[in-house]
Amino acid sequence: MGIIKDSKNASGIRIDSLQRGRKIVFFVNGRYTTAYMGETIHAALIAAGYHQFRKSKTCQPRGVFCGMGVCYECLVTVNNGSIQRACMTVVEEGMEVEIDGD
Amino acid sequence: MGIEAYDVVIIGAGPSGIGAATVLAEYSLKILLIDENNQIGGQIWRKPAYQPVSRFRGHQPPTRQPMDLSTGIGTDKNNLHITTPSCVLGVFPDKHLLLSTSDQGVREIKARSIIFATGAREKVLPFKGWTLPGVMTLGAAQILLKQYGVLASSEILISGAGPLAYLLSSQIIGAGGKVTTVLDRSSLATMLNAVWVMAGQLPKIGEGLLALGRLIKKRVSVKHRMQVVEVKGKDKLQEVIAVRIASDGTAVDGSQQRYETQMLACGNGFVPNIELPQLTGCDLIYAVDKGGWIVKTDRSMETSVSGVFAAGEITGIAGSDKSLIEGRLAALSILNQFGKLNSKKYRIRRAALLNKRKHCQRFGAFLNRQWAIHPREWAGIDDAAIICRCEDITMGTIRGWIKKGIRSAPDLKRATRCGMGICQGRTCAPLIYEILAACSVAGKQEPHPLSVRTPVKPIPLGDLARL
Repeated sequence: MGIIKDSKNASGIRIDSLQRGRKIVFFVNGRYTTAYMGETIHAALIAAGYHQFRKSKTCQPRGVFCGMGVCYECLVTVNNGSIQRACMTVVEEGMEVEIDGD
Repeated sequence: MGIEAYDVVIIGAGPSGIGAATVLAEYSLKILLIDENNQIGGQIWRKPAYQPVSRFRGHQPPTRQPMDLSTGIGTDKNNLHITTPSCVLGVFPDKHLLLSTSDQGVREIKARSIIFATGAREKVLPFKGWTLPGVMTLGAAQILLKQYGVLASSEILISGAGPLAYLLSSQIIGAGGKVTTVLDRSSLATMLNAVWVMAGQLPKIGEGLLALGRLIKKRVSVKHRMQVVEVKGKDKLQEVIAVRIASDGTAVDGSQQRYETQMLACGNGFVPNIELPQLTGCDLIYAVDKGGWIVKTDRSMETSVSGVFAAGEITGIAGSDKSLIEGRLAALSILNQFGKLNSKKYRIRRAALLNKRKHCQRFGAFLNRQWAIHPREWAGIDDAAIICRCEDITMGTIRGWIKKGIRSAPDLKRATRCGMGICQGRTCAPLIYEILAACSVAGKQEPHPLSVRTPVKPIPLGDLARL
């Protein structure tokens, strides 16, 4: 089975055996990033090679841990306001995502 | 505004919630099925995220969305209302609930009966550095792959015990990814024993053999009785250090292995999500062989609060077959209480389901034994390892307070803020119970669960203000 690399330095990989929604664009700290309709923010970020999502209370790097809405390690800022769990929030066209570890 | 009323509210749309809903939907009852995820199906029946939009976005709740047929258990009954992604923030003993939905904000609803089908979350034995990006649970890696078709890295190291570690490895290989090594906590003998335990459950054996076949074909090295004790990296995982654990919970001298990897998926079993039933006032029992704190139920799946039922992993970790059975059991009991199923028919159907459940419970007991972690390992966690990930409280701090005489989780929380962070103790509380039990010198301690308060998940204050 083949694999798709979204950009040359991305370490996350989208497999091509899964049917995907329409390709959309969103922003990570102002940077153009591609995603597919139906993906959560965390899936899109990991596929684009982002692993650090936030800093902890003592400024340690944190990223996706439980992936199912329990641990709150993947908190990101969405559209300049609300703080959301990246693993529970579906990415939308033009969405602006701020991560604290880039 | 009037409070919406339902005959039955089911919280959680995994196997037990769907099992209950499909039984109840055959009768003229107004039912609400709630799930926090975008899709119903729970953790085990997750499916690719790409679905026709109306199916997986909960923008019309709680109206007549057809239950998705791809779970294998569909219904087009219009008395069954499904709302996703929605979160129950609180449940009160008079069976009023606070519900937060993406489109209508927070509102109050009430039910004649409630079924808790809130499932389980993963447990990880903490080690130094486990908070580094690149370390995630087995479940997290599986969700990325199954639901979104994303491999977190081109090479993944797997550490854990039980079927999920092997299933995930097999799925990664099947998707074209590479599993560098599987560090299996259990011994080879335990694995062979699994075949005996699963006798009579051919599909499970088949799945297991398929997974093993894939690992053998790809020459993935499987190391038994290994446990990750430290990971290193600057801002991101680079190196994993594991040791061999003897049966007395100590590390075997000279067994240390180093692995270079950017991704580690690890898991040490599951913990029941008992927060909502606990908040409602349902009695709990602490049973290490069933996953920790579980909800106490009788043979009809009713909890200590009348008209409130619990089904699935929250009554003891044992997998999806048991959950499905218990969901149906709870539904039948409610039908009997509502006078829609006569007692004779009810007893016959209940007896048949209870009989089936026995086999599942045997499998569950085996799994929980396989996941069991020796108290010496809990007591031996490195001082630098973080236990409470929200508040960055280390094992060293906790050990210090235990030496000063702290014996219960609530006292530890007050002393250290451990469990007081944004995840509300969901990640660290189950760890603290085991650490306290393992480190306490003054004999056996009666564990106390951390208290739970409404709202059980953080929400913006503005949403509550509009209530």
